[in-house]
Amino acid sequence: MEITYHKLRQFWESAGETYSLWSADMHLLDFNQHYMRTFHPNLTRENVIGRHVTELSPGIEKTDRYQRYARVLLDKTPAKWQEKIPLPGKEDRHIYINIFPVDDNFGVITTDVTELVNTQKALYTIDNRYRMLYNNTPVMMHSIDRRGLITDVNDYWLDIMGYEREAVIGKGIVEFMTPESRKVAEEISLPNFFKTGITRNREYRIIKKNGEIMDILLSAVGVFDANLEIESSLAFMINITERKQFENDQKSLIRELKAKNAELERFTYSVSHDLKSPLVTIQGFLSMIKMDIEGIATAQTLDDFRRISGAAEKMGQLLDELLDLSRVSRNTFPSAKVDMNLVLSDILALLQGVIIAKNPKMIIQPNLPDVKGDPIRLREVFQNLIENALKYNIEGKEIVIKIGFQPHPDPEKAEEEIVFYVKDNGPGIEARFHKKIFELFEKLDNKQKGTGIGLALCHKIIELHGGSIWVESDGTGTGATFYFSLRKYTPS
Amino acid sequence: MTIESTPIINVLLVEDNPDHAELIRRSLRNVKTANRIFHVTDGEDAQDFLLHKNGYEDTDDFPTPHLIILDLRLPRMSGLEFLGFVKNRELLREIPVVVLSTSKSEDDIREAYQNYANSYLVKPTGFESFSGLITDMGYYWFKRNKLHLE
Repeated sequence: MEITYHKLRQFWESAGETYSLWSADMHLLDFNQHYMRTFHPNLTRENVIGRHVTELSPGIEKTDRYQRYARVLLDKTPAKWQEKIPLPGKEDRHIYINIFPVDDNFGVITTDVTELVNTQKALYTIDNRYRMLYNNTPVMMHSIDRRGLITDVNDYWLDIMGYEREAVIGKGIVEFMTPESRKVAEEISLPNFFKTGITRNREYRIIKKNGEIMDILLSAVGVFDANLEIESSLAFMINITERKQFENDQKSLIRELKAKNAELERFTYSVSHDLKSPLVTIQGFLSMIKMDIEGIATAQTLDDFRRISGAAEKMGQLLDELLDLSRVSRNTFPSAKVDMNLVLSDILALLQGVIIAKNPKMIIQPNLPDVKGDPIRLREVFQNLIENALKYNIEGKEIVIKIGFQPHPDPEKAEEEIVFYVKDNGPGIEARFHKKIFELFEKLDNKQKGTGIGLALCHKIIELHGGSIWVESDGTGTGATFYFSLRKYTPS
Repeated sequence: MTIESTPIINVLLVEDNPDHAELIRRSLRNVKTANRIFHVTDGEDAQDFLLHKNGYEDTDDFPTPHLIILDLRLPRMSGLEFLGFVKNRELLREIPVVVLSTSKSEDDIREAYQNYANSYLVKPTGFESFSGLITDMGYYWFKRNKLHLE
């Protein structure tokens, strides 16, 4: 088919590039529709044809582009370049300009390549970002090829290992491992990786340039080639030396603790069996002698007997309570539901003898709330406190004991905990002893037959229940109130 | 009034503490029954006694006991081990074993019963008399309780 002028004109008008023909003195001779759309969207053909370039694009004579046009005209040689040009109604566009002589005139074809440039830019940014990420992420990264040779490492890798890049690229990755790790890598991990394309959290030990050994966790993914064969790897290594150290420390601590516990168990066993044996002998033979000399012993002798027997009894009590104290620590934060009303009525039944003898006035608040704990241990606490209240009183004065509960004074704890109290009207406790009385073997009154373990035991039990125990007293003659807090039991 | 002829009750006392053994002996005298007390001081010896070996071959001199009084804390073979041995033997397991220990520990008590102890008594360290306890025990096992005496 012969290309007619008409066809050619159609082609010219339909093109997505701008075509324009200019006279040697830079007047616009002809152009296509795209030229109009691009450069003069608001003008008509008649407005622009025959106009000088400086009229069409005011200020163009000051641009480089104008200079280049002039040079092409002068040299009669074509030129191509790309530049950023402001277009009417649009942001700056990247335009590819192709200018060439046509007889004495010259033609200009422009192509808008903004999209292309933007894509390129984006790719460039992505690549740059990837490089930045690769180099600056505080994780050691490397790649190896199918032979296991390092093809790339990041800066962090080099930093940590202490090598220059040149000393590493092309070396086998296994050369940086301890012999044990190397064996695992060569025999298991690497063959596996090149089959599956993935390695997850494998532990290795690698050697730095300075000889230091580092525990690391390695994960890698395969990079596939066009045939879907694994071409190389992208591997990440995390330093777990500290974690390993911590694990090892923890293991040895647990071992130590187990040994200590076993020792404590043996000690406890020994206390409950061996240390009590001599007391059995003392008491046993004392009573034998006592029977033998019944009727002939003087009051003095009988009093001496009482003293010896009392001392042995005290020793036995001390041992029992110490054992109790050592057993308490076994169970931390017990959280069974405990009915404190039941606990209290058990104690009152247990103490019935003393209560009848001392005839105190007992004021007990009904409906004590349920708590979380170990009922047997909590009974010990309540019992100790009530026994103390019965024991420490002012001669000739009616004993009044008040037992009840109230919200926790600390608003932060009031939600979770409840406070119980045992209040007496005894001699009271001076403020300077308020902390001390909860320490082991601390007794304020040597005439009393306590062991100095009771309140220490209460303290320990409440502590292990996650609560606290304290005393309030204005000092001598005003009585004392013992408080202890426990976690409320809330049915879920 | 008829005089019942009561057979002699043989008691094996396994106790390493000589003082305690003496207290037990003397206290059992108060029970006023015909009994013979054979005293051994460790679990292995007690085992030999029951198996009639290592010096205990003569079954007249060393008869199988009707009751065993056992301390838990013993050298060489512990009381619990010995208890396990007795209660795992066809011909021995019917012998009642009364554990007599200084320990009030729940662990010790539980373990004793798990090994089929027939009774667990705690040696008193207080004013309550040791001899009273042993006398009560003797009275119960020798007089109140019917032992299997062949």
